[in-house]
Amino acid sequence: MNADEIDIAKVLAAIAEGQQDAAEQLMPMVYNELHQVAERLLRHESRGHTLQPTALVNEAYLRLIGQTKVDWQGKTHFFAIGAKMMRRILVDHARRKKSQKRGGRFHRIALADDLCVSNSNDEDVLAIEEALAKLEKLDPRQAKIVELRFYGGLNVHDVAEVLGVSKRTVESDWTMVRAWLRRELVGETIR
Amino acid sequence: VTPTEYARVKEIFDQAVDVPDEKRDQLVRLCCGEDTLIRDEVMSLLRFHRLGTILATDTVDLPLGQQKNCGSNSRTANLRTDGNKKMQHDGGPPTEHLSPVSRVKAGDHCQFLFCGEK
Repeated sequence: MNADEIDIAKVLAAIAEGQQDAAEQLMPMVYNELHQVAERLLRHESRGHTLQPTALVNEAYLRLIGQTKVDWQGKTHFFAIGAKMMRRILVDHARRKKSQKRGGRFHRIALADDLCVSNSNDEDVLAIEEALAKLEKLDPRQAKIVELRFYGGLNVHDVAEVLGVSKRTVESDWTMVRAWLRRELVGETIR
Repeated sequence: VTPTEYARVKEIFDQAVDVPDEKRDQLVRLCCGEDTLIRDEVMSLLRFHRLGTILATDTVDLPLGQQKNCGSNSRTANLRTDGNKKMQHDGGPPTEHLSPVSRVKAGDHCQFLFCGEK
């Protein structure tokens, strides 16, 4: 499938109107586009090129959308799809690299106050993925928020738009999920 | 915890973060009653509650001027952002110069990617 075969603006408008199945049409195209650019950049990692997933999604958006005008809602929904696709690409990449290293076990010394995670860091990507798998079972919406923010670079307002909930709801969830992630990643549990 | 217990934890956590520190303990105990699992889980999460973000590239959690970017208190001394530009913090349609992706130029923040100990 290529950009000529479907009208991206129309599909994005349909997604914005709540037709979630319309997203299915876009996913393979977004994935292919992102994957191509990501692979090219990831091959050059050792030469100091660093992958910027959110910039990548933006680039894919501009390339696929061409000169077509879409409203900002469309763009937000494109980023939601991009976040999901970037998660897949980055997790696969990080796992491949980890399997190539001997004893590549994730360990983190940061304290909760210092903790910050980057979607350009393989260890962070794997740690977040592990935490997300757990969170998806406990609270799918919170997991989705992490996916959209960590991989998609969406702010709270845009996440609310994508999920169709209030900004206040996203803020509450995000506040709790930050605490939960800090605890998960730093390692203290009560269990 | 189960999803049902987690939902209860969420409900109480949400209330607790809105009250002053010294009253949280009391509120949590009141809400949880004899349920020590829920109480311990909420208290544990509250110990990890911070206002700042945990996303290395994120500057939008707090109102402008109160942002605690990752690295401000850690080893990431090389943090660079485009501080001259206005940063979006309260939503509104993303525009070309304010959206979370376009406000950072490619290669602009490569130095602050490694916040954890490698």
